[in-house]
Amino acid sequence: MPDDVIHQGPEEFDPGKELPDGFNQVLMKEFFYSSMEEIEPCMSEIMKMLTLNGYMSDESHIMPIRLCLDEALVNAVKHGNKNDESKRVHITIYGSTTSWAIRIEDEGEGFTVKDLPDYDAEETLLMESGRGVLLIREFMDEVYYYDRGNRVLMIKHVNKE
Amino acid sequence: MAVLATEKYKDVVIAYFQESSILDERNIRSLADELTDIVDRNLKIDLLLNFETVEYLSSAVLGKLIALQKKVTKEKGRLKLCAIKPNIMEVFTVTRLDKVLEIHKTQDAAMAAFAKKGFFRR
Repeated sequence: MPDDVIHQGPEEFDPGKELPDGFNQVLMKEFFYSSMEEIEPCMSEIMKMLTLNGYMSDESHIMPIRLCLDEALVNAVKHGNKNDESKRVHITIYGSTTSWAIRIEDEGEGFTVKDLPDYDAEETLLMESGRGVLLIREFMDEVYYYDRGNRVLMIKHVNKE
Repeated sequence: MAVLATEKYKDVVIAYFQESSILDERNIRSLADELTDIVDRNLKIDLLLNFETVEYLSSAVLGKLIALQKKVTKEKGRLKLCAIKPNIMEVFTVTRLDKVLEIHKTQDAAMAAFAKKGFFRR
């Protein structure tokens, strides 16, 4: 998929470092066991935390960002960990004055960006899933899939108020 | 509690969402079951989904709407949506659902569109 937002990262930021470049704060670090039931409570916590830190001042973005995160978490549980409740989904949220980022890691086999369908093609118009990637492409500013594709880092630039 | 409340008006089944958020797995499964049930019980249904109360939905709901559209079309019915809030409309546009689903600004506009029956209908 030709794209300027979604990238296959060559490798993750130095694993010895706690923070990706440009970020100075870990806002949240948590994991949950792969169950669809866990997604909604986790999502609420993430949104609350982003709002408290002033990253959601543009209210028109709350709904789409929520959907992007929902899609990424559902992907981790369903496609990554294949609903295996013994496997975990790890979430870390990073902050800086101009951006926030979320890193989501599952314990599954991963995928490559090349496997994503061509969303501009007519055939994908009637797909019943996978639309989250379109939202992610629209509302996130940078997206990197790392390692074997089981880790994603999504970055959003904002004007904190 | 059911996710949808329905009424029939001028041969159109109008379904209203009872909750402002359709996010969790249970809610979404219930929505899908209720929609299937409505379509199965009405031959060649004219179905209008009124979104006026909806403020949040998850990406899984988008898929359910596509599935519903396919099912209604297959059974020779018609599906329209109306009264979608601007921020949700943006989601529909970005995901290109607006190209697949017929969306009207108001319930009246949707009802008027239903009233224009096609030449081969009924």
